[in-house]
Amino acid sequence: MKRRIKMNYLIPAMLLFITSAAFSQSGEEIMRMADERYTGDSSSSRTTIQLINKRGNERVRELISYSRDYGDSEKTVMVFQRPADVKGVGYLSYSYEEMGKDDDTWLYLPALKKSRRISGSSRNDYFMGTDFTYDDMGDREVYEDSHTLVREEVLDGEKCWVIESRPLESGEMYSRRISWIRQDIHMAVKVEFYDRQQNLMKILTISDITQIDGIWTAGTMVMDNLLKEHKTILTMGDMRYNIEVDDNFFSVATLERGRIR
Amino acid sequence: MKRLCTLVLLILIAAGELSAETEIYFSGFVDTLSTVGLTGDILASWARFRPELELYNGNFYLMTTLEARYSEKDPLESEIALKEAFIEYAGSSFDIRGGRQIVVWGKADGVEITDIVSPKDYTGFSGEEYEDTRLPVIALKGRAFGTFWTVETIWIPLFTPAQLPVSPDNPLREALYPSSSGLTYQFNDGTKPSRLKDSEFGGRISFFLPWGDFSFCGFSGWNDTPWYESSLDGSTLTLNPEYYRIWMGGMDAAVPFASFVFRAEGAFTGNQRFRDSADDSNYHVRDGLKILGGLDWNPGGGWSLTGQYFEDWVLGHGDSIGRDQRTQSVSLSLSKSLLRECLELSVMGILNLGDYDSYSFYQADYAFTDAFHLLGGVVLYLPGPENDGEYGAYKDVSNIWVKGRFTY
Repeated sequence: MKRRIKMNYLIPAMLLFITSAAFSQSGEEIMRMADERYTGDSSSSRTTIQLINKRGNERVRELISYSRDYGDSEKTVMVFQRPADVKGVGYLSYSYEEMGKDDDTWLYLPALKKSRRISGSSRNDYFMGTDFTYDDMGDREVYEDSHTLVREEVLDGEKCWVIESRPLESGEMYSRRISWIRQDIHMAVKVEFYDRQQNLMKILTISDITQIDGIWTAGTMVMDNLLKEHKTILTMGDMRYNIEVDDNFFSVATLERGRIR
Repeated sequence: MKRLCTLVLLILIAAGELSAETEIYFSGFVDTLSTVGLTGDILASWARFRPELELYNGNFYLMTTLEARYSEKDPLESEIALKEAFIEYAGSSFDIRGGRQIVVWGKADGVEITDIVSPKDYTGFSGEEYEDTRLPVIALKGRAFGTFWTVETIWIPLFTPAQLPVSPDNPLREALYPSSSGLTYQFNDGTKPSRLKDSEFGGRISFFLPWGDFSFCGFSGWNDTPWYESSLDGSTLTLNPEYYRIWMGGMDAAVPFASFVFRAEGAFTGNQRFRDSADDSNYHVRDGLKILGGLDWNPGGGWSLTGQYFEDWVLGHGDSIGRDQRTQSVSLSLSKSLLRECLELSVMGILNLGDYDSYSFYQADYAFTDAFHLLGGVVLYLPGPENDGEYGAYKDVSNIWVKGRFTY
């Protein structure tokens, strides 16, 4: 089971850049190109996560993450900065391109003062109480769905491709996803998620899109969980690409220092 | 206390002198606990404040944690104490940390096998978190590491013993040293090893590979829990702690497979003392072996399940040793997070397979806000059908507890 916690690549993985899609391309070709696009050799970010329930009560998390792409693998370290009760909790993960190869994942809990090897959580589990599953956060591979280019459509004044993705295997959380891909910058700006009963379950909306170090980056992502009347807002801050970061930074020893900032 | 004030003063002076590049962070928590025994007696009632100060300056890092505790039930446990206080220099492939620090080794949960560097605090019995059960050691620790390996060495020039429940108001003392025996117990401080040649040393090499993690470690030091030399004068039993040298060699491993992680840990500990079967005041020196196998399962949906099997052997046992050559126990823990991780329910139990006595706890942790948690639980010590056993000895300390914590 592949399990990627890649906040830095969260946006690219979800938003599916399409480098040179022609209208005649199939949905699968578009998705595959998007999945393989260049997102920098390394990156870092500070992400604020707002959890808002149906009564409007808000809880806020903030985490710092660093990633480095090694071609056949990708290493990510991610540490919570707030709130205080989870401050210092860190994850280190190595994700592999090789089909079927499990991620290597460690969890550091400051209260235990040691790291712990952990297995991959269920991809349909929600990440840290948010409305994003691990699948939503870039864990899902292109080959796991069939993709159909449904139509072209103008959304918020931008011309988009609309792609429907259906899982090839049964038992998945979503029966289908529909993605709107902006044609000018080849980036998804909206995704609808449907449950097994074909009810519209969640809507992801992406905004505040800017170019950072030559890479189009979304500033805000809102996942609106219609069934649970709950909303998660991710705000990406201090996003940097192709940063200098040592190999040893992505080690259990660094994670156990417990003070990545 | 004087040393503590001096240290705090030095830190504040240093903070004032540090350049503008220095970043200073204050954090910590306030919590309060009340524990009622199943007989209705109040067993514990305390409140504490634990502030933490962190300073970052380039490759240097300084951290200090104080603990101010007021215990209404056991005034002797009211104190202001330094928990951890260390300075660290961190490079890209090494770091050096000196000062009071907690060192944790091993892969086992709740069982100390190779994890013998930092001594234990045995005074608590409800609502404890892991950090509450460990005492810092005054040590110099160095690490060198790469992506897939870490080498760690540690020098402890000043020995720190375990903290035992010898306070007259601690209910664990009554369980261990019952007043019903008709004896009055006098615990002396004894003499701790304090010369430079009494230093403790340890080393550990760890590997973190795609198929699993494993470590080898060695340690030469003192037994944290003393051997009590006893002398009887009338109805007063005087207990003098004696510390003796031990050594340990061990290894551990954690191997993930799908949603499982298999864990193993073992240690050979040399030069231990075991009580004589006929004469409580006499002992025999033997080596010991501890081994553990465990399995973690995270099936998703917020569920987490851990099972462990543990054996403790006395090597070269003979008939004169006052305990079984081999003891076995199993543990099982189960937790489930609910309400978007606002509520966590957990259960943990250990069953001694010799006397079939057990220890278990049932706990709920609800986050009203990110800063305020309310926790509550039940702790049960159940005796075996024939003998109280190791856990059953504490049967009168079974309790219900509630705890509030504000984190900032």
